[in-house]
Amino acid sequence: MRSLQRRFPFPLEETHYAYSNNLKPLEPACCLQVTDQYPNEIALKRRLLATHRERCFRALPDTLPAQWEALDTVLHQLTTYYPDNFTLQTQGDKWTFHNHVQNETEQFTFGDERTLPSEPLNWIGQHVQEDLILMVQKDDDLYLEAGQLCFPSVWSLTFDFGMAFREIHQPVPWNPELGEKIRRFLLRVEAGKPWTRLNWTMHAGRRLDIPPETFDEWGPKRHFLTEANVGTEVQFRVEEQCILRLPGSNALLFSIHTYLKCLQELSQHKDWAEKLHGVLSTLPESVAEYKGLTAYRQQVIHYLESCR
Amino acid sequence: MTELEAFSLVPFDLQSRCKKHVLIADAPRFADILPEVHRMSASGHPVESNIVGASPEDLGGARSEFVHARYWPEVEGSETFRKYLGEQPMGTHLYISAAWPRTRSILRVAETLGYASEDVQIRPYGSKYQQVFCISCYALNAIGDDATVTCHQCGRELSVSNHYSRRLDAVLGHIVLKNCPRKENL
Repeated sequence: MRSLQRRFPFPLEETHYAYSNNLKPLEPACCLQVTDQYPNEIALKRRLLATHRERCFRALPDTLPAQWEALDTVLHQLTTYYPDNFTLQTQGDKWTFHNHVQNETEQFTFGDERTLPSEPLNWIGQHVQEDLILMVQKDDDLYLEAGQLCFPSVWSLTFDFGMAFREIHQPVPWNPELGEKIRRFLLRVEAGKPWTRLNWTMHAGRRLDIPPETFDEWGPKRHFLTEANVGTEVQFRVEEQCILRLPGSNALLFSIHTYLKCLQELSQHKDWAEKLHGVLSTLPESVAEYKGLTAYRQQVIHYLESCR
Repeated sequence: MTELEAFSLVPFDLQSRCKKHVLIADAPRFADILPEVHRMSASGHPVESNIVGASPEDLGGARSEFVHARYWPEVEGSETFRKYLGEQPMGTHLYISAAWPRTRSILRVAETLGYASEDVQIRPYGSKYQQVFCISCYALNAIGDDATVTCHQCGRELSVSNHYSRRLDAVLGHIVLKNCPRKENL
C-alpha cells in the first residue's frame, strides 16, 4: 500500500477580494482525493452515519439507478487512480472490492442493493472522504434527490432534500444573477467533461461537520476567541468540489472534499497568509456576513499581521 | 392592514407588449379581479379567467360574471392545468391573485413551463408561510407574528428564515444562540 498524500488546495490567488467561481475542467478526471486524513475521516463519517443517519443520508427510491451509476463511477476512479489502495475484481455482476487502507473486502451483486449493507450511494460514500450529492435533471432543472452529507458547511440535507437548484440557492446579496448563471452552466455539463472548483470560508473550532442542526454546539466558539487562541481555533476551510455528469441516468454527481487548516498552520506559508490577509481586509461587509465572518474578521486580520 | 395585505390589493400592471391576458384567482379573490377582467378586455387582447381551488357552485350569485371562466379545483399536480398553461401562445401574461401557498404552486408550474418572471405578476394574500421547521429536532411549528419561534418539541428559540421547502411546506428555523448579538447568529 502506497503512503497517502498530504494535500491542502489553497484557493486564493490574489491579495485582494475579487469574486471568482474559479471553475475549471477537472484534469485528470478523478473527483476523489485520498489523503493522509483518510482513516480518521472515514471513521468520523461512519460514526456520524451511525448516530445521525437522518441528517447524513437521504435518497428517493427512484434514484437507485443513479446511485448504482455513482457507485460504479467512484469505485472505478478509486481503483484507477489509487490502484495500490483499492482494487476491484468483477465476474459478470459479481463484484469484489478491496479497500486496502481499511483492510476491508466487500462482495456484492452489481444492481442488487440487497447484497450491500446499505443503499449504493451510502455504501460507496463510506469508502471516500468526499461528501457525495446527486442532483437529478428533469423539467429543465436540477433536484437534490440523493446525498450523503457528513461534513456540511452550514447547510442541511434534511431540509434541502428534494429541492430544485434555485430553491436551494437563494440569490447572494452581492450578485443576484449568479445563482441562475451557475444553474444554466450545470444543466449543460456534459458526460466525460467534469469540472472542479474551490470554495472557502472560515469558522472557529476544528471540526469538519458544521451542520445548522448543531449550531448551538459549534456556533458559540466564535465568541470566545482571544489573542491567545485565535491561531489554533480559527480554521480556514476549503471545499474542493467536483461536478460530473452520469451518462446513464443524466444525473449530476457532486463530490465535496473538505480541508481544514488553522491560522497557525496556514501562516507558516507566508504567501498564503499574505493573500488571506489581503482578501479579508478588502472583503465587502455583505460577503463577510454571508460567510459568517463578522464576529471575528478583525481578530484574524490582527493575528495574520502579528505573524509577519 | 399590513403592507403585504395592501400590496395584495394593488391592481395589476397591464403589460402593453403582451398578446394575451390570463387571470388566475382563488375563490376569496374572484370578486376583486372582476374590474381587472374588464380593464384587460378593454386592451383589445384576449382575456381568460381562471378560478382555482373552487367549483362554479362556490361562486354563488357572482357565477354569472364568470360564465366563461375555467374552474380548477386542484392545480398542484394537475396535468390538465399544466397543459392549459403550457399551450398558451407566446406573449401570454399571467396574473395570479390567490393565497400564498396556491400562488407558489401556480408559480412553480409556470416556472417549469418556461414562463419568464417578467411574464408573471402575483398579488398573493394571507401569511406567506405557515410553518417553521426546527433545524435542531425537525419538528414543525406554527409561525406567529414574531421573528422568532420557540420550538414546541425541543424548546429552542428559532429565527424564522425565508428559506422555504415545498416538501415540508415550511421555512427553515435556525437555532438562535443565547447571549449573542442577533446579527452574529446564523
